[in-house]
Amino acid sequence: MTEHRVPEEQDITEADQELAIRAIRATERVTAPGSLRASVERMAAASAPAPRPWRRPVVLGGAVGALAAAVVVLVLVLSGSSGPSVEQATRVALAPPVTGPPARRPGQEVLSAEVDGVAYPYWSDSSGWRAVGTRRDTVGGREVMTVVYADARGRRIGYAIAAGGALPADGGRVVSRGGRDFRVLRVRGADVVTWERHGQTCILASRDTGADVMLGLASGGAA
Amino acid sequence: MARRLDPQALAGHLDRIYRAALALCNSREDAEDLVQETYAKVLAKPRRLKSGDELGYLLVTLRNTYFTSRRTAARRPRADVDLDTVAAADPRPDAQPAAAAELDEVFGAIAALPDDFRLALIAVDIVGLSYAEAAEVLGVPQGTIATRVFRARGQVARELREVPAPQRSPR
Repeated sequence: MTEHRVPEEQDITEADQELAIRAIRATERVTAPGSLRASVERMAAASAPAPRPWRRPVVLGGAVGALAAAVVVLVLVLSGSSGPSVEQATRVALAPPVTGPPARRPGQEVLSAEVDGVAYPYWSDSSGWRAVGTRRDTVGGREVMTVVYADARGRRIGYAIAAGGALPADGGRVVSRGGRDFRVLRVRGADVVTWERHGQTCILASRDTGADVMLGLASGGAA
Repeated sequence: MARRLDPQALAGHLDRIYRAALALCNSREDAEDLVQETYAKVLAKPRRLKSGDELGYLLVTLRNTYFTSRRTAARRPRADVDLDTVAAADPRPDAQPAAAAELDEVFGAIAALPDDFRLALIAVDIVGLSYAEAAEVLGVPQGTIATRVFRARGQVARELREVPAPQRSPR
């Protein structure tokens, strides 16, 4: 392997940048070999702390049992009639991720994961919320993909897209941000924000993060 | 506020860390060994995370493990090996040889960068850290990261343009 002199900035063109970004993006399809994955998962399982005994959550007045930490965004494709309810989709999206997170698309404010043309936002730079995992579920006969985000304090965000069919969103209150309307709801102890993007319905839900934070994420550029 | 490293979150970053290792080593076997050693170190005991997250922690450990291994290997006597045996032990998971060769070219171009530029490019473009996060992880100013990534991409582009298509072949 020969190490080359790196060109100075003035000698580098925009086309160079685009070529490199495109080429590096292509490497995202390289995944770890199965044997390595199995080995790492064994090590992780052996290292994980023993689960705590389950205890019934104590509800203190209006404290809303806010011990669980999760923010969930669901993007649901608008179309026909049947499909998961907002409550069903929220329940699925609050579940923990089962696979690793998608990488950022180099040079873009989105991740390398999408459903029906809707890409998941890259929020790390703008807000500190990083993608930490992914899961796929079938709800109401439709596949729902969720990307879970977390911030430095360990709070979590999930972003999901359910292919095919709209979820009717009603109830709650409507809030306008940046010229768009968002609906703020409570579903199964979680705060939920729904909105539409490119003809699709998005749902954001959280048990430990306020609706104002979710609205900020939802109204961001890539969301 | 410090928190405990989450083993499952660590495992969830495997693919990105593996690609980072490939970009460091430019060899699948070496990358697998490097990733294995990195995870073994990190998961050997419970660890506290004072800042950043699991991904940054893994990248720092990967970098440190890589440079330690490289220094150790440089001091070790070299043995002659049968190249046919080495080639046979390097199966390509990619079903399309041409595509695999192109990926090898990309990893090879990154691996040929000087260390500082390579680490910046890996942190931002392979692992997906922001410039600010990469700056913290690598311990240099954010502007330095931006410059290094820009110049590293320029060199990678030159490398890829200079490789004639008929000569492209996996290592």
